[in-house]
Amino acid sequence: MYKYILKRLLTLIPVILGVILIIFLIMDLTPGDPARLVLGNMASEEALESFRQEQGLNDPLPIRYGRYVLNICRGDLGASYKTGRSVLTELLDRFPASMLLAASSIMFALVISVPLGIVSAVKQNSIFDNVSMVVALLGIAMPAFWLGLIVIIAFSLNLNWLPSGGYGTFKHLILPTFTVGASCAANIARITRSSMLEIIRQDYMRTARAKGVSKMTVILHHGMRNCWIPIITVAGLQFGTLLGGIVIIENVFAWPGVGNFLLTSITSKDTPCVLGAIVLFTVVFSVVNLVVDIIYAFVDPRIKAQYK
Amino acid sequence: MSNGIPELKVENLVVHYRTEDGLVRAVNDVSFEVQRGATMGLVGETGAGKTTTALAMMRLIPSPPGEMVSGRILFAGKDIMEYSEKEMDKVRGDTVSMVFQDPMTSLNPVLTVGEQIAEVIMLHQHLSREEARRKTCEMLELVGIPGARAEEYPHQFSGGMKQRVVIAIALACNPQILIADEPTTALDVTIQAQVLEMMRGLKKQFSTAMILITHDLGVVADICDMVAIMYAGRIIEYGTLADIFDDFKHPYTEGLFGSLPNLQKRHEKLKPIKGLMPDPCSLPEGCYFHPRCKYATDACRKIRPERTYLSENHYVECLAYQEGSGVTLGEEASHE
Repeated sequence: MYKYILKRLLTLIPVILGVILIIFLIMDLTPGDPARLVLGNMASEEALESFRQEQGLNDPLPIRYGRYVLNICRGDLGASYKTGRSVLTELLDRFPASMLLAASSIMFALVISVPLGIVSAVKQNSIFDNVSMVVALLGIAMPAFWLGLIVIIAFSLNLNWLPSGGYGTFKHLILPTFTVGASCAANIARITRSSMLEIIRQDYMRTARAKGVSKMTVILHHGMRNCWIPIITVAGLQFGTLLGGIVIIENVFAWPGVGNFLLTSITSKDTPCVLGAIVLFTVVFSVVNLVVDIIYAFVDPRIKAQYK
Repeated sequence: MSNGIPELKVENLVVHYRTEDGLVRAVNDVSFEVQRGATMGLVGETGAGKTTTALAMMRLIPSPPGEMVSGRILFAGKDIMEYSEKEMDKVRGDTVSMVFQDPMTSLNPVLTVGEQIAEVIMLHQHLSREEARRKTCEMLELVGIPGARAEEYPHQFSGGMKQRVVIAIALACNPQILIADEPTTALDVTIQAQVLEMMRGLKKQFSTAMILITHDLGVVADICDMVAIMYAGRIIEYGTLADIFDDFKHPYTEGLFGSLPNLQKRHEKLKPIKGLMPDPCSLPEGCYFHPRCKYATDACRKIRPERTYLSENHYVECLAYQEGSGVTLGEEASHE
């Protein structure tokens, strides 16, 4: 088991190297001169050139890539072109806010969707099932940024119940959490329902009933234990989508997180900040998936046997 | 046999499945009884309604689409059709238990076999966790598995051992009625013999009334006292082991024995029953067996045969034995 975790952590290294390379290429190929963006249109050619020299922007791509990777190994993510502050500090300042939103969204999604999926499966083709699956379909179909704007109009502008943006109190958390979590919840509810429908028809569920276990206990004990694998698989994958969603939604709700920071950095072509934020997202996503794989082992003994 | 009341009595059981393709008549008017300590073999081809009959006795017909249309099922004289779902939960696993057909899929893959055996014990015998654990180990040892393996998961067991675990679960609370649905089909021959030997021992030890569902006539001859031959959801012949094996009457029973290889006459060709079991969505008129029966007459195509008792315990549903039907089995009828 420990060996497995170590192995997985080691595979993280090539993944991060690859991600950095891709971001480097994208930032290099997109138009726009960082020096011009930072110093402004009025800057003199000499000032621009000295900025490029100073930041090493004139070096060929492989050299810049190698330098960046070496710096990362020393824990140095570079400094923002714009503010000159260390990217690492900038990220660490905003990371808790983003993680709070991500964690609350995925928790919200799980708490809503798992019971919904189970009840829909148990009462297949009932009104409850049909209505909740239509709602789930809507949840998947609605783009998060649009949903975000709609809930702001409804709950902040019209009803005046919740703040339209900002950070700090529980009230500030509600709308962004709902917006980010909605599509996750919809996806998880659908997978819970279909997995549970399959599990209900399994022979071992009948065996449990034949032992005299009540219908409810059979579903919650025997069924759920088998249902967690697909649920956490989807939840882990949804977490990736959710990180992507956060980038936009943080902007919609003026949430002071890494996503918001990433978006502003992209528009100002602040390459060190963009790279840093994306590397951070990559690490978080990979670690979440590693955690998902580790949870598998505790849920299903057959998978545990394979982790060597 | 205690005070004459049979341990298990099924009266005029009818089970249908309502599907999109129409009404599936799985079990059509089945009646039988099993005394304490006796074993009844329920024999028939795949799709004859054996498993549905068994599930009906547990009241575990999946509904929808299944529906118990009519009939009574009595455990020691008490009609379980009148029980509430909660009362039924108390009966299942305790008074009556079932060994399922496929051991590979009958155990929950994410729970240890110990947990799965202990569950039924704790549910019905109200033992403490520690006592249940001890009993679990005892049950495992009883079916020939070391008690220490209780901590292991089903995937760590072979097929035969899984089946023994399923049997251990079924026997954990010493049920008065045990329904075994093809308990040996998925096993190889040596393990089959062990499992049958074990079941025979339990019957002797606990006087369990047992229903053995199988299509293996060899197994029936080995262990059963009574035999019911099922065809298209009906019991078409019923009798003691001797009645069925030495004095069978129904052409279908005759066909079943004709399909068996005979060690004494190795040069003889097997005589399989031609044709297939009728589709339970559209059962034929008259006798259900007539499309495959080599003696079928016009009367067989129109009249549904009634139960005809040849002796107290031996009945057959065939017009040839029904008085006044005018149907006789032709020359071929006298077997041997």
